[in-house]
Amino acid sequence: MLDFVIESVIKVVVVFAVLMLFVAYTTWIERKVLGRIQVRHGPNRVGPFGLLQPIADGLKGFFKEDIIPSNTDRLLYALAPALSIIPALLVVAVIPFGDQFTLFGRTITMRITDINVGLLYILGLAGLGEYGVMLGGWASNNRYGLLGSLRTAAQMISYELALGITLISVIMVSGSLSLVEIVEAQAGLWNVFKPILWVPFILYIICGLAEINRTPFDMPEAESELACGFNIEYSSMKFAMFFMAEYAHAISLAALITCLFLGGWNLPFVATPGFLKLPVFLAKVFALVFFFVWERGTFPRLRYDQIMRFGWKVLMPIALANIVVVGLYYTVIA
Amino acid sequence: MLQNYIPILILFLLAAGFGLGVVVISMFLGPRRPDPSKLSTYECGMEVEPGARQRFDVKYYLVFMAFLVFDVEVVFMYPWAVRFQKLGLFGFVEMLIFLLILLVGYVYIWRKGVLEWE
Amino acid sequence: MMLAMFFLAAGVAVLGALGVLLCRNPIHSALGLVATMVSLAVVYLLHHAEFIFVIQLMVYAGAVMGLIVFVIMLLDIRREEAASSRFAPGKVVGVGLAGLFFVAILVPFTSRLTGRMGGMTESALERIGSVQYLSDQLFGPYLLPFEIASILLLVGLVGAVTLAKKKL
Repeated sequence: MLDFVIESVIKVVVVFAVLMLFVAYTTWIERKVLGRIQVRHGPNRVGPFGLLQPIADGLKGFFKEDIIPSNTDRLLYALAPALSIIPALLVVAVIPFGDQFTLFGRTITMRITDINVGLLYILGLAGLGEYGVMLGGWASNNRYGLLGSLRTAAQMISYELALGITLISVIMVSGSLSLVEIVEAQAGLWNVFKPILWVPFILYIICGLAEINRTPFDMPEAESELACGFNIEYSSMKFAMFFMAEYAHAISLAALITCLFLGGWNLPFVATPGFLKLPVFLAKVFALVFFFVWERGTFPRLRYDQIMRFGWKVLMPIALANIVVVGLYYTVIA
Repeated sequence: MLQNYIPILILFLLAAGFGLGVVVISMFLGPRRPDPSKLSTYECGMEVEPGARQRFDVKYYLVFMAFLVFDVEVVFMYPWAVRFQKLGLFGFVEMLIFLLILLVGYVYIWRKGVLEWE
Repeated sequence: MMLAMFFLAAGVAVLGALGVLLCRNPIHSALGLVATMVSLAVVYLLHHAEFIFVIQLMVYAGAVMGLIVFVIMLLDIRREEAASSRFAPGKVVGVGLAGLFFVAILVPFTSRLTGRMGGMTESALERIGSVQYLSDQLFGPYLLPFEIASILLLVGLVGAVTLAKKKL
């Protein structure tokens, strides 16, 4: 038992540190790639290729003045950034990023834990993640901030619903809610290559992007109309924490798409040698992160009414029809 | 089985410590030079009317309510989806009936204009 | 260990509930209720009800409380505007009902513990708490309640729309 706790603590600390590193360098990737897309250089002053930029940004965040506007709700104003980052970090607990390896005669699994209801645990955390955004805008007592919060909350729940409905077809085929089992079931054939399942794959990417508020669904920020939205009054590390939460969500979304549709640590069609499993998983995650940056550089932001109409009137019916079609296919035809 | 949740507890303690710790640390590290205009609410530069909070459209509430109902319906579908392959055709028909009733609600809110945004 | 975790979770639940009662600001009250809901989820988990644990997180801590916080923000409810009168008849009825409820909770404690182990051992609980077992029950013996639940939800939806749309 004690062994298990010590092993878990080590794993948690390592995964946490690596996640933080990834979060920091996802900002670098985003700025560099967006720069290239817009024919600029992106950060290139701090360190070679600007590689030390995220560290400089973090340090700067700590030493900037922490402004607390006078008519805020002080407690919630301070609590909101923490409430938004905690669920974002907790998601990583159930994501399997590799199979297992043996070290000093111990079998060590490449994941923090595996629970029977892993997928729903992640959905639950997504629901709790709204509070940080909602309270951040409300506690600031700012018109832009509050409007940003309300819009975000309404958008997040709308797409969370479509996302939940989409996931059902994946669960139907996998027959499990444990992410490890879902990945293992894709050893021969990735879910995305199975009949019809490319539909939920595309739906999931769209809903996922909307749920983590990325372009073209970046309503909460909408610089041009809401002047940054819910985090308008925030400064220093509190501001940075909202951003860290956002990038942590982007990384876990990429990891989740990898696990649910792209076979996790499995290579397509062939058996994967043990030492390649972690690199294969990370390669897929970073390919998706790159895609998230790429589409941000490509698509313009949608209007709010367009976003809501698209979520409720287009994605919802498709997601529902998808369940019926998958159900028909796997009961009647297969 | 509960053993599998211990790592989550550890991660929660770490994440909560990190989240709250950073908020507290940033209060002490940065400089502190408050002045009235810096501490005022950010808007377009003019004096801000006190109390930025105001009442919003009932539409937001309706959408949230619709979400709540559908979310509960989706929750019923998860156990079904897990056992889908075992339940077979009979289970599928059961779920079709359930989906049909859900569809009635969906068409209702659509016709009532809950999903309209102008 | 289990017992300590239980008391921790239950303690947070009670503290959150007290927060709901004692906070003057409605948003703070609502957040107290969120804390209670999350701790209740942990209590369910400690009883090996994994599925109920995540559903409690998703539906109660996430969706229902989200709706309440959202509506408070939406309507800009100020500090206890409504509760101004000190001796409203509603309060008397409320205290009476709360007292009855408390007595009802106390009843199980009056029976003597025999010290014998019942059928609900840890492994039995684990089996019952799983999604698979729940699914077999829900789509087997309890099929009718399941279908009726969907009609109930439909009624709820129609009710919500009617109430909100009355003035439009």
